[in-house]
This record gives sequence, C-alpha cells and structure tokens, in this order.
Amino acid sequence: MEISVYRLTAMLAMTLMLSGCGPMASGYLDISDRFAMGRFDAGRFTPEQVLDGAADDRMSLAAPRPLFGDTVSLYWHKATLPADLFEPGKEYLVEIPYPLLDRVDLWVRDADGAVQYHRAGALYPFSERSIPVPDLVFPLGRPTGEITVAFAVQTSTPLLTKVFLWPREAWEAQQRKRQWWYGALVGGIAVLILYNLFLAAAFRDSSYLYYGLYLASVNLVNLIHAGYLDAWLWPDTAGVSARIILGLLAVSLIAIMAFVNRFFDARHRFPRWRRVSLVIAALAIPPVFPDPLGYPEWNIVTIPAMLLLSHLSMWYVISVAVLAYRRGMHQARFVILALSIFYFSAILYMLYVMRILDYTPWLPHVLEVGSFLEGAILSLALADRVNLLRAAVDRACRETMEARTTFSKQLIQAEEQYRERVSGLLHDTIAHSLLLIKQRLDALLARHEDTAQNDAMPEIAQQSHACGELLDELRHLSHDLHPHLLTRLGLKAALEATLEKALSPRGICWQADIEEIDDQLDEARRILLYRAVQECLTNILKHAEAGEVMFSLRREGERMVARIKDDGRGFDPAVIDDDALGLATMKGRLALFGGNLKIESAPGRGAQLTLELPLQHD
Amino acid sequence: MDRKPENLLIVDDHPLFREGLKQVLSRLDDLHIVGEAGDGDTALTLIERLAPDWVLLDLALPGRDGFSVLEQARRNHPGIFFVILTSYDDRAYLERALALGARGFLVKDSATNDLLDCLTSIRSGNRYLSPSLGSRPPLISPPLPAEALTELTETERAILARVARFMTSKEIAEELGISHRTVQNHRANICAKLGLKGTHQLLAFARSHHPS
Repeated sequence: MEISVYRLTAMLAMTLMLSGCGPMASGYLDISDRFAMGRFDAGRFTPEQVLDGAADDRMSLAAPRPLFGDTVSLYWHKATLPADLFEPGKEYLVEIPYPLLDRVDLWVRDADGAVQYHRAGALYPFSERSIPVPDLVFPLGRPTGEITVAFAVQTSTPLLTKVFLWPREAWEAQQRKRQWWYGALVGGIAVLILYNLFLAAAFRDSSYLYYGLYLASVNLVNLIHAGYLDAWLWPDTAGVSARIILGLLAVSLIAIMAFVNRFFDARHRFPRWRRVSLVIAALAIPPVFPDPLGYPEWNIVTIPAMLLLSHLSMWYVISVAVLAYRRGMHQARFVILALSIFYFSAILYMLYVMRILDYTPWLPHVLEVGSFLEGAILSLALADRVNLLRAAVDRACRETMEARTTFSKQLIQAEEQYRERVSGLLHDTIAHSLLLIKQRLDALLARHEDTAQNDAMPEIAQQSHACGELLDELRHLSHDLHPHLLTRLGLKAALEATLEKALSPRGICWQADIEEIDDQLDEARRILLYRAVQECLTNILKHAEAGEVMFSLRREGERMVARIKDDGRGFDPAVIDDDALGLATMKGRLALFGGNLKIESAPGRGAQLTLELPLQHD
Repeated sequence: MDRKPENLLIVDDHPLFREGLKQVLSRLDDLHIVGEAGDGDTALTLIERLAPDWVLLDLALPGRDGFSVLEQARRNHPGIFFVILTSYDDRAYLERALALGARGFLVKDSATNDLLDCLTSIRSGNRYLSPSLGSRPPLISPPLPAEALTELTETERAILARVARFMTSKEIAEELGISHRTVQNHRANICAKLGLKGTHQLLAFARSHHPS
C-alpha cells in the first residue's frame, strides 16, 4: 500500500517535471554566439563606451572563457541584434539561464539611441529586477530596428553566459509551466521532509532525521541555484553569499553520510569505512567559514573543494550501500538506486555548468529532478525498512508466542505423564498390595467360617472392611490423577461415567448427548476436554445447587463444542471470585490449543458453559 | 458339583493375586486351573492352545488390555465363560464388558468372597455382577425406533422438542407456563413410554428425533 502510494507520487512528479522543466520549451532563440566577450578590470570602461564600441577591439566572439569568474574582473559581453530578429510590434526579452551569477548589469540601446539599464543577479536585491522572476531575464521592449545589447558579468561562480532571445508571450507560457513545476517540486520535497521527520519521531530513529536534514539542505541549494530563494526570502537584500551555499552543501554531505552510517549501522558493520566519512565531514567544515587570510580568491579554492567533497561523499554513501547490499541487507537496494539517480543527475548538472554538455532547456533543472526522485525512492526505502522492521518484530512476537505455547503444552503433557505415572504406581503397587492383604484376610475369614468361635474373627473382618474402603479411596485418587476410563473406553464413555459419578449420587438429574469423536481429536485434546468438563462439573457441584445438568458434545464445523448447562442459582459472569481460578486455568489451557471457554449466566437463571476446541492437530 | 472337570485360565499380571485366587479355587474339585497368563498376548495364545472352559480376566494388563483379549477370544471361542476380575468399579467398564460378552464382572476387592458364588451363578445360566455394581440401571440402552414418538401426548412432544433445544426442566416449565414438577413428571412419562432407562439419554433421543 505504502509503496504504491510512493510510486504514484513519483510518476506524478515525473509528469510534472517533463512539462515544467523544459524539454518542451519552444520559441526562444539562442543568440549566445552573437556576443563578443572581453575581460576587463572593473571601471576600465563605462557602459556607454562599451556600447559605443570603445572596447570592441579587445573583445572577441572567440575569446577564451574561464570556467569560473572572479570577484574583481568584469566580463563584458556585447552584441548588435539586427532588426530582422524581431517581429514588429512584439515585445522581446533576453534570458541568461544561470541564476547563480553574482551580478549582471545590462544595457540596451535601441535604434533611436535611447539606453535602458537593468540589473539582476544573486548579489543584487531581487526587488530591483525589472522582471521579477528567479531567472535572469531582461526586457528589450518592442524593438523597431537594430538594437545593441551589452552586459557585464561579475561573479565568483562558474561563468555560464548563454543568452536567449524570447518573444514575451512564449516566455510567459514557459514561465507558467515552470511555476507549476517548482510548486510541485517544493511541495513534494516538503512532504518528503515532513514524512521523514514523522518517521524519526515515531521510531526514534535518527537516520530519518539525518535524511530529512539532507533533503532540506540539498533542496535549499537547488532553490538558490534556481533563484527562487532570493525571490522568496530576501527580495530586498543583496542576495546570498557563497558562504551560505557552501554551508548548505556541507550540511547536506554530512547529513547524507550520517544517514547512511545510521541506516546501515556503519559504526558496527563498516567501522573502517566510517572513518572515511568522518574525514570527509571534517574537511567539509572549513570552507564554510570566511577566508582566514583575507585571500580575495578564497571562493575559487573553496567552491571546487566543496564540489570535490560532495562527490567524495556520494562515492562514500553509494559504496557503503553496495557493501551493505552484498552483506544481505535487503533494503539497501533502494538506497543504491536513489543515490545513484541523484549522483547521475549531479554529474549531468556539473558537466553542464562546466560547459562540457551544451545547454538544453532541462539541464539547469536536472539536479532538482534527481533530488526529487531520490527523495521519493528513498522514502520508499524507509517505508520498506519500516515494513522489514515490523515484519521482524511480528516474526519475533509470533516465535515467542509459539515457543510459549509449545512450552506450555509440553508442561501440560509432562504433568499428565507424571500424573499417569503416579496414578499407575498407586494402582499397581499400593492398591494391589492392599488388595492382596484384603484377599488374605478374606481367605482367613473363609477358612475359619465354621469355627466362628475364634475371637480374632470380628477384628479380621473389620480390617478387611477397612482395606476395602481404602481401596475405594485409592481408586478415586488414581482416577482423578489419570482418567484410565478415557484411555480405555474413549471420551464418550469417560464423560458419561464422570457425569454419572459426580451427579447421580447427589440426586442431580442429568442428560447427555455425546458424539463419538475420539478419532477426531488427539490424546492431548481429549484429556484437555475431559478435564475441562470435570472442572465445570466441580464448579456446578460447589456453587450451583443445581437440580438438573444438561451436557452435549458435538462437532460443529471445524470445532468440537461442549455445552454444560445447569438450572442452579447462576451468577454474574462479570464477577469472578477466587473459586473461578480453576475455570481460568481451563480457559488458558483451551486457549493454548486455540479453543475458548464462554460463560453465560445470570443470578437465578442457571448457567451455561460453552467449551470450544478446534479440530486440527499440530 | 458332580460334573466332568472344567478347565480354567487365570489372566492377571500380579502373581501374588493369582496365588490367592488359586487358593480360593482349590476348594472347587471339578475345576482345573490349566494355565496362568500375565499379559494379554500370552492370554490369547493360551486360550488358543488350551481352549479352557473359563477365563478369569483382568482388565488392566501390560500391552493388550482385557477388553481387547475378550473381544478377540470371544470371536473365536464364543463358548468360553469370561469373568472379568478387575480392581476398577466403574460401571462403564462393566457395561463394556457385558457388551463384549463377559458373563461375570467381579471387583477384585470382594473377589475372594464372591468368586465361588459367581461361578455357580454363571454355571446355572445367569450373569453375575459384583453386588456393589449390580443394582443401578445401565447407562446405555439400545436405540429406539422413531415410532415410539407416536405414543407421546401433545404436551410431552412439546417438552421433548424443548429438551432437544437444550432447555432444562425449569426453563421448559417457565416457557410452557406449567410447574417444574409437572415437567419432571412428563419427562419421566416420556422416558417410560420410550423405554429409556433413566433420563440420561433423553437429550440424545430428543435431538436425534428433533434435529432443530
């Protein structure tokens, strides 16, 4: 059930992703190749100079582009867009599809020489943007002729400067889809995080907590990358520093390793591997803090370092999961699958950022997709783990119960065997010796019948009589200990004899309807039924003051059902007194064999006890 | 007792008790003790080989028990007089033994005193049961034809139907609005008409004829 819900969620999310994150984007034009680029110190040229072409000879279409920007240089880009790119009267935009750039200042000069200035970027307040969206988008107005676009990028992040030309309508259509996509993504991730927190609380298992933390930090990074956090959290301030991103990355890689360590109990199973994770975690902390030496290019060291550590942590968690799987931990399969998907998406994203993979509309979002899929699949793993744990607990419970039942049955059996032995001993040795004594006394009496004058004769007769009484008592005792009638004649005869012996001498009228069922019950169950009926009779004799007892034993479906009814004074079944202890014991014994005892009675209304015992043998 | 000597086999697993029996039986001149057996299988072998006229048979024997010996031997030798000699005084055993064709049933306690009477009584064509067991009616009587039902009155049939529903006399009295005593009388009458000895079997009969 849980699993199918997750599959459904994952499928839904995939569908949303497809339309939202870009593959179907259309209507834009990649104009990156039209932009000449040059690197200058800040303040070397004014925007007007660049637009006028003062820097043209130091800019080129084929200028080498470094992988990363830096905090001191400006990367100027400039292109002249001919009138035939624009349909008259239509509104146009340019997009630089990498919201992580620190500062982008853009000037547009139209055919009439009017200049518009716009700026956007992670380190500019969001509220200053001309078009308030997370992507870096700038309006071009409705060009009526050739326009010139120049922009300066200053960033410590990778220097990705693709430029797209959008008709406004097409862009808005794509934008709507994207909002859907981010809504679904953020909502889905939030649900997954809450779910993990809930599991952490419910099972007091910190691995869920770590995973929730990981999900939160990774997706915060994603949202920062996508530019949304600027829009939502700090629209009026100058953006988020690289420190925060590095901090979140550090949290995420520490959390995912902590999760995997807890989940697979690495402390005990993989202690040496675990040390690797501790080293990676320790190395991830320093880059989070501001540069200690005032080194201006600190980010140029820390960002690649953190990226490297992120990769190492992914390698670590996937390796541990594979190891765990090979050691037979079933639930590791989900972890491997999920982390591999995420890692694959991270590599794609990295290749994109490093410009090894060329831009396609979905590449900037591949990490988000990967992260969401990972979250969905891993939550499935956690649910799987819950199921496994529950199954293990259930199994343990069942085994304990079975062991207890078996033990109890063995105890009962041992007790019966012991009783049988004692009963046999009483009967065969003591009773028999007594019998022999009586036999001799009687023979003595018979021999001297004629010489009745012997004074010893009355004494001998008395002793013989005493022997007889003792024998009677021994017989009762022996039969109480072990019902030989049951063994020799079967349940029906034994029960009838018991009813007769217990009730008739006390003038209690009884009726019985007993099926011959010996072949349908094993000996343990026959003895159990017999003893249970005995116990019921004992109770009737002790408490009921009955005039009549009705008894029936028959098979009803797959159960043997015995009913004992008396017309005595009855009682309130809810009020169990100490004397009911015998009944409680019987109830327990019946329960061991899957049976039960039901009591129906009310004061003044007699009582009916129903004993049920299932047929099947163990 | 001037008849030709008869042969007797004693089956009991206690040698001392057998000795006691032999002493008692020695008073009968026309009875030969031809063998003794201490367990069921030996008993059967000896019965085959010696073809005795009498067998004194204990019920509790090692291995094959007395009932089994009785059943087996009666099949091949219906003419043998079997006297059960047991330390059990349960009527269930008595009834089983009689059903299997035993002619006498003696409780060992009083065997020394009653054995000779028992043999004499059986010789003259009767069954003999220990006096301590003999007086009460048997628990089991033969099954009854359903026609007997026609002899019952309307009220008696109503009562029988309620007995079949597992109702006690008190409950029946309450439901029919008659006195407890009256129900008991009716019930006794029903048993008499149906030939049931005692009311123990009334429930079984009522159920088999009112399968409700």
